[in-house]
Parts: sequence; C-alpha cells; structure tokens
Amino acid sequence: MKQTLWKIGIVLLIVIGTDRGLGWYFDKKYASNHFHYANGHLNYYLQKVHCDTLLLGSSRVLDGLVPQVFGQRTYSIAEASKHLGWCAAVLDLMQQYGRLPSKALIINIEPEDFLNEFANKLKSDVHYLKYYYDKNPFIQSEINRSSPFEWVKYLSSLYRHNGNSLILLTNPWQQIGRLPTLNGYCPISPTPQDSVRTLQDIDRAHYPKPVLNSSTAQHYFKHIKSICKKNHIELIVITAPFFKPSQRSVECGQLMAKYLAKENTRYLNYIEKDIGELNQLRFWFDNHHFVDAGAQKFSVLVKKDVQLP
Amino acid sequence: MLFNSIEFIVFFGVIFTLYWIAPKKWRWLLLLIASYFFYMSWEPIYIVLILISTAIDYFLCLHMTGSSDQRLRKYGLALSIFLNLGLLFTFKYLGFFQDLMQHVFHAFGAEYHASSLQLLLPVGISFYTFQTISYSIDVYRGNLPVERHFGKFALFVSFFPQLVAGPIERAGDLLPQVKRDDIKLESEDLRDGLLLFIWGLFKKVVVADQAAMFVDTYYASYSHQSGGFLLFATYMFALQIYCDFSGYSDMAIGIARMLGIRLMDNFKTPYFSSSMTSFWRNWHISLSTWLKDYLYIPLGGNKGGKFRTSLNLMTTMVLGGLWHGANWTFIIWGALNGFFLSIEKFFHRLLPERGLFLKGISMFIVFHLICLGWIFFRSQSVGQALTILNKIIHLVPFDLYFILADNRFSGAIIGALILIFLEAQIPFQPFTAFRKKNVVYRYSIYILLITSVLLLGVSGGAQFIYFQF
Repeated sequence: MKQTLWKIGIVLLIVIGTDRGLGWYFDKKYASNHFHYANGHLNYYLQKVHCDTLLLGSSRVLDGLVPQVFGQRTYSIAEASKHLGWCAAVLDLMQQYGRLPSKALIINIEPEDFLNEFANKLKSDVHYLKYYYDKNPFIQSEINRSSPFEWVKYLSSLYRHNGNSLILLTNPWQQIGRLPTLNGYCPISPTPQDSVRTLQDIDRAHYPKPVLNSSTAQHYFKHIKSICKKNHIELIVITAPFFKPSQRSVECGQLMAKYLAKENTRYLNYIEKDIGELNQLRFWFDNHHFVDAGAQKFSVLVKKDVQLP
Repeated sequence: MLFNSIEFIVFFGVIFTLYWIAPKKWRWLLLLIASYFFYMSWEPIYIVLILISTAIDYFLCLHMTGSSDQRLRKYGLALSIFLNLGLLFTFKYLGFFQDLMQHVFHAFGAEYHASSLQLLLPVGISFYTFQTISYSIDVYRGNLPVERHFGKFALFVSFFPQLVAGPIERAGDLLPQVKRDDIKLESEDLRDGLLLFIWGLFKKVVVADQAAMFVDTYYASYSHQSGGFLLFATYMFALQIYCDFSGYSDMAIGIARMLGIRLMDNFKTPYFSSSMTSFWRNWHISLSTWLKDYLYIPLGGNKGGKFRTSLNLMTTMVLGGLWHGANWTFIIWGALNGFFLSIEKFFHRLLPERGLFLKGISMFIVFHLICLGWIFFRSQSVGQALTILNKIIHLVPFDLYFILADNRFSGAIIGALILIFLEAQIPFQPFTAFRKKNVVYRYSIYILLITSVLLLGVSGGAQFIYFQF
C-alpha cells in the first residue's frame, strides 16, 4: 500500500508540474492570440482598441451590424451564441482594462434571455471567459455561483484554457477568423440555400404566454447599466429583427419594452418596427441572421434610429 | 450528481475516507445512506420507488423461500415481476402506449381520451428494476439463497456506483460482496480503481462530450445538412455513445473497486468485433447477458431450429430495444440488430474472422451495420432517421477538410485517436495489460489522460446518455 501511495504521489507531482508548465505556455499563447476564436478578438480589443461606440451581442450583432457604418471609431465585440451574461462580463473586463467606449454602447438583447429557462445559459456563457477567473472579480464571482466547488477546478492552471487549448494551437492554420479588419464585423456571404433555410426556420409553433422574470438576466442587465451610468456611456438596447417573427417573439419584445421603460433605458425593438425593404428574402441567411447586404441596410437603419452625436 | 462533476469527486472523497475508517460491521449502512443520498440528488421523491421495489422483492422472495407450495412460489415470482414491470411501465411507457392507443382508436373511428398525467422518468429505473427482477428469478429457480438482511438487500438494489446506469449486477455476484465485513483496502484495488476512473472520465469528457457537440449540431439541423456531414455525425455518434456509456461503466467499476467491490465488465472493445454476435457479446454485456439468461433462453434459445432461434432472437432484441426507451426508433433499432443477428445465425457465419485483411473487412462491415442502427437510436423520430438515411445513401462527395479543419471538433478527433490507440494496443482490460508496459510509457499515458481531461474535457457537459433509460 505504501508503495502505491508513493506512486500516486509521484504521478500527482508530475501532473502538477505539467499543469504549471503547460499553463504558463498557454497563458503566453492566449495573450498573443488575435484570432476570432478563443476570445482572440476580445483580447485584441482589450490590448489595442479605443472606440467611441461599442456594439455588443450575439451572432445577430456579429454578422448583423456593420461597425463602420456607424463611424470609424465604432467597434463590435459580438460573439456567436453569447448572451447577456457574457456581455456583462465582457463589459466589466473593459472597465477593468480601461477600454470602455467613450460615448455609447449599443447592445442587442434577446427578450428570451429574460425567460427563466434561459438563466443557466446566461450563467454558463460567463465560463467562456474562464481565463480571467483570477484576474477579474466579477467573472470569478459569477463562475463561483455555478457550484460551491467550482473554485477547485481553478487550482489547475491548465483548466483556464479548457476548451480553448486546441484553438490556440491551431489558430495560425485557420483560414477564417484572422486579425479583425472590419472592426469586428463578420459578414455572411449569400448562398443558394438561404431562402430555403429562412422559410424553413420560421417559427410557427404556438407557445404559452411568456413571462420575462429571470432574476439572472436582470442581475446582468443591471450590471451593464451600472457600468454605463458610472462611466457616462449612453446605453441603447436593441433587438434585431426576425424574418416573419413568431407571436411569441412579438410578445416577448413587448414585455421587454415594458421592462426597459421601467429601467429608463432606450430600447429599439426591431421585432415590431417596420424594417421595410429588409422584409425581402434575399437579405436573410436564415430567419434571424442577415447576409452581408442585409446587415449593411440594417446598420444604416439602426444608425438613423439611434441618432448618435 | 454526475460522476464527471466536482461535486461527485468531493462526495466520493468523503465516502471513501469514512468507509475505510468506519467500523467494518457498519460499512454497509454507510454505503446505503451514501447510495440514497446520491440518488436523491436527482429527484428526492423518486427514492420512494427504489424503496417500493426493494420491499416488493425482499418480502416476496422471503415468502417464496418460506413456501413449499410450487404454485404459491410461482405466484410470488409472477407478482414480483408484475409489480416491478408495472412501475417501469407506469413511469416509462405509459405515455407511449397512450399515444399508440389513440392512433389505434382513431384508425377505427373511435375516441380515446388519454390521461394528462405527465410523469418524469426516474433516473436509472430500468437498471435497478432489471437487477431486482433477476434476483427474484434466481431465488425462485433456487440458484440463489434468499437475503434475509433488509438493509444489505437494499444496498444491493441501490449501490450507488452502478445504481443509475449499471452495470446491471447479478445478486449472486454483488450481494456476497456487500455482505462481507472483512474487506480490506488493497493497493491493487486502489490503483486499478483510480486508473479506471480516470480512463472512464477521459472517455466521457474528452471524447463523448466533444463528439456530442458535433452530433447534436448536425442531428438537430439534419434537414439542412448534406449526406456527408450526416454520415460523419453518425460515426461521431457511434464514438459518443460508446465513450459515454463505457466511460460511465469504467468509472462505476473503478469507484466500486476503490471500495473493495468488484463489478462485472460491461464493454470489451465492441467496435473491434468482426461479427454481430461478437459485437453483442462485447457491448453492454450486463444487459446482453441479462436478456440472454432471463428472456432468450426461457423462450427456447437456439434449441428449436433456425426459424425458432431467429424468432427468439428478434423477440429478445426488440424487447431489448424497447428497454432503452418508449419510442419506435428504439424498437426499430432492436429489430434491426435482431435481424442482423438472425441472418448471421441462419447462415452460420457470414463474415470471415480469420486473416488480418478479411477480419478487417468484417470489422468494417459490422461497424457500418451497427451505425445503421445508431441512426434510428439517435433520431427523435422514425421520419428523421429515414431522412438522414436517405441523405446518406444519396451522399455527394464532400470536403472532409471542412470537418477536420473546424477546430471546434478537433478535440473529439484527438480524443478519439488517443482512445483508438490505447484500446487497439491493450484490448479488453486497459490497465491490467497496461501495467506490464515500462514505467516511462505508463506514466506518460497517465499524464496524457489527466492533462487531456483538464485541457480538452467538456466541463459541466451533458449527462450520460444511458441515464435516460
């Protein structure tokens, strides 16, 4: 038994050594990563960008809003499939690194984020920023909320790169996601399947009346709002349109409008707003994402509506 | 509480320590409390079902043993099976059969009003139900002495490492072990148990959960996807389900081993099989042998000629499919496998097993027949499975580069390569043969596995596929 315990101890020591060594290597890799994946764009932004207006949100901002339409000093730090939790954490990071926008934040929020069933998704999005666990108190406290023993995982240096390590190693060979050249915008080129996909994606299901009462979403929203208030940044919330929105989306949008009115926050709800020409199939990749031409037109529309100085 | 969660590791650390310092005669009680606590971490109320199932089999078997009247014994067994299957039916199949009834009534122009009762499927119900049924049958047959200690019998039913997803243990193997109060912490058990746990964890979080991301994406949007991607997603599902389930089994066996209890092997590199029969001997062994001993052989096994054997095989496999879930997709999956097995039995041997090249071809064919079944198993409906199959049949050449270069999936591919490398090298018992390798090689592999779990493992990933059965 003694011998076995010794062997386990030796393996443990080698594991700790490997963990620290590889952790140091991946920290260096992460710090120099400016590719889109593995938070490379965020990294680039935190290191190099000062902007007036910041665009934040999910893929509906990433490939739906063109920063340069708003002006050269507008930048997008949107990320596919990331929602309110991620946005709040990213904004906190920007505050810490002194990289908040000087004038305005335009953030796309999906009203569904405020449904209770999405609470876990919002929380889990923060875990994509686990590299900053011991660098940013807000991210650390949000990650620790997920389990009383979550901190144990962070005893490992490698764990902060969990999920990103291969991306960090293979990024140089990737053809997509290179150094941002369009201020963080990722255009979608049209394909012959777009109209089929868009029509297929239309949500015709009938749902019970939504209730937007997620305390998690409210917590993240209030955090974003307080950062903006503290730093005198104009906060504008938008919800990007859908091609033929479902009744549920419309209802969610209306409830969201009520909530944001109560919070004294400007809200542009494009689910219900007239988007004119954008109702044509050719502007859509699927029923909630624009192709490049649609994104250009939508950005002009948003710019006109927000009327930034 | 999943085996791959930090909560479980803390829980097990506490139980492991208490177990080995507790007085020997009370260890069973500690394990019983731990097992109930473990089960209640999912849905506390469903502990009642385990208690009911335990009480039914405990008292009916005592009654059977106490009676010399064969007829009463038979009634006792029938009642035990009826009540156990009744619980399983109510919680697992009621909705399915109500839908079926509605369709049948509708076809005859009649109305059938199904109950609106929606029951949540209790985790592991199919596993512990089969375990207790096998106990009753073995006691009835006189193959096993009845257990008179209620607490130790309750521990046999609910032993936490294998409670929610097997292996489905036989009372003859597990009961004597949980009854022993002279178990000592052996270095071999600690070492092998720990290694099996890490090996299972690697399979689950590095390979299965990474493959799941690919499979879920492509199976959810199957109508938009090309046949090539769907074929690749099906291969990935074959990998996912193997690593998910065998990973769970390895962890369960490893955990039990660290407590000085040996569970049966559940998988023996099934994808290296060169016949369907061999595949089913090596896949989910505890269920396959259960079905063989308590269904296939009582039906007559292979003793009634080729047609009778085929019929028995089909019946066994269809019921085996239904055991997995209340859906036509599982029934078709079972029927397909039953059909392949029948064909193989009917023509004795269809595929060559000798010679490396011919064996390789046989393995390739068997793997693809199994994958054909997996399409139904993974699909939400028969319609979805047929669409996917149709797209794969009308496959157009696609650029594999897009999949291989997409670094979201490279983790699963790298994990799979490590897995294949290790399993091909050390078949059947990864760490028994492994111990014979030289120390540098072994330690490198340990470090590789642990580092892979930390770097590539999906943290907070999906629960195990077999929990839903």
